[in-house]
Amino acid sequence: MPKYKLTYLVFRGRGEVIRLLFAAAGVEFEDVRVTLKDWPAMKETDPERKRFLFNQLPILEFDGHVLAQSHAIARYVANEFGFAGNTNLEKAKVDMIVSAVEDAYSPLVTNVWYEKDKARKEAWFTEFRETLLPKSLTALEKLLTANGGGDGFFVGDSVTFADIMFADRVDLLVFHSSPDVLDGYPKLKALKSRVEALPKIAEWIKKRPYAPDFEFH
Amino acid sequence: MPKYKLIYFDIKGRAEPIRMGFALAGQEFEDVRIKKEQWPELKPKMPHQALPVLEIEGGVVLSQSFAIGRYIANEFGFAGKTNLEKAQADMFCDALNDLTPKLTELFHASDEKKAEVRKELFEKLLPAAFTNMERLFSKNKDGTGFLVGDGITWADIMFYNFADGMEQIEPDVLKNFPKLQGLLERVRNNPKIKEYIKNRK
Repeated sequence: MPKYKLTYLVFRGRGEVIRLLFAAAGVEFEDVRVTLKDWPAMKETDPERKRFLFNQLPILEFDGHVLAQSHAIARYVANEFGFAGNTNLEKAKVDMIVSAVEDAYSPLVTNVWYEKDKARKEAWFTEFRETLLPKSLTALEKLLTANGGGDGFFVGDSVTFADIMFADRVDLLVFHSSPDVLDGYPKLKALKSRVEALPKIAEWIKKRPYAPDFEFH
Repeated sequence: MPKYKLIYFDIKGRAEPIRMGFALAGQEFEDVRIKKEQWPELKPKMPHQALPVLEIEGGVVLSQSFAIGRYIANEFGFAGKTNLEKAQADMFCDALNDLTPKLTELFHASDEKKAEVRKELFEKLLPAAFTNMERLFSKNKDGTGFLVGDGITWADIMFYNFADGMEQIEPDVLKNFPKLQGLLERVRNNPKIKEYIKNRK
């Protein structure tokens, strides 16, 4: 087993799903967390981009290889340890759901972190709560239900990258909407509990370091 | 072999790499192109209310262009040979995808804002992205072959379509990136892709 070293920011953000996949696989990894304050100086230690290939985090280092891009890394870990889906078709369905969750999450992060214009920000958040989020959750509930009634997992009959991605990222979506928003999507709500109750994932959630994701709004 | 039906608008957009992928695979598919006027009526009928969509005989419907592209690549053997190569291919594609929001912004920008967005894209974002890609590409056989491993993958097709699109706006967008230019030519000259480009609508 190679030694894996994941470098990401102190947040859950785009790195947590990778940490969760390692945890679910029962595979040890070095969990390097960088503060926003320290990141610029860290970038400067690598002027030839031998590690920070696209000048961003996360990166995964193992066996002399470096991977960048959070989804590429997560999918690599998922494929290595059996959380990607068992056939090409299952993998495609997993990818589809991962992309759908990302499409819901990404504009939220942009508006929380980067939108400075107060009026535009407020307008976007209203649209998010009233239209965008319901649309995303409705589509995801439908996809889940389509898999044998929706009382298992998104794809096939075991937990995959898709379930873990949803269970992790939905917290921020709920935080910026309302605490009981998932009550309208019972299958998704149950899936989240199901994922978080899986022994290795439950253990990781209990012992993982504090991450300040919900301090920004 | 199941029958494939790709549904998208009558433009290159997010479907062209998939169409090209089928061509590379030598796999027939139904290339359905809908008109913009048809879309409002069709949209609620589509399972995921977005295009492209790939319908596979037997009832499976896939959405999300990257999921579809990766699926075709895996099915027909041009995804990369190992999990690591597949991850490396994904990495290049994700880096290109990061540029899409700014491209969309350019497309929809008002006349006054267009110059500003164009400048940001062509003077800052693209050079930075291409610099990283040229450097990374050089690690693979000094950038004399393909992006990943030793054969063409969907990462090369994605890069080709992206860069070719950029060249339509700014013909010398790759002038400082000789290895990426070489890659573009290499993809263009792949027999199946050359044939596809010659005959495409």
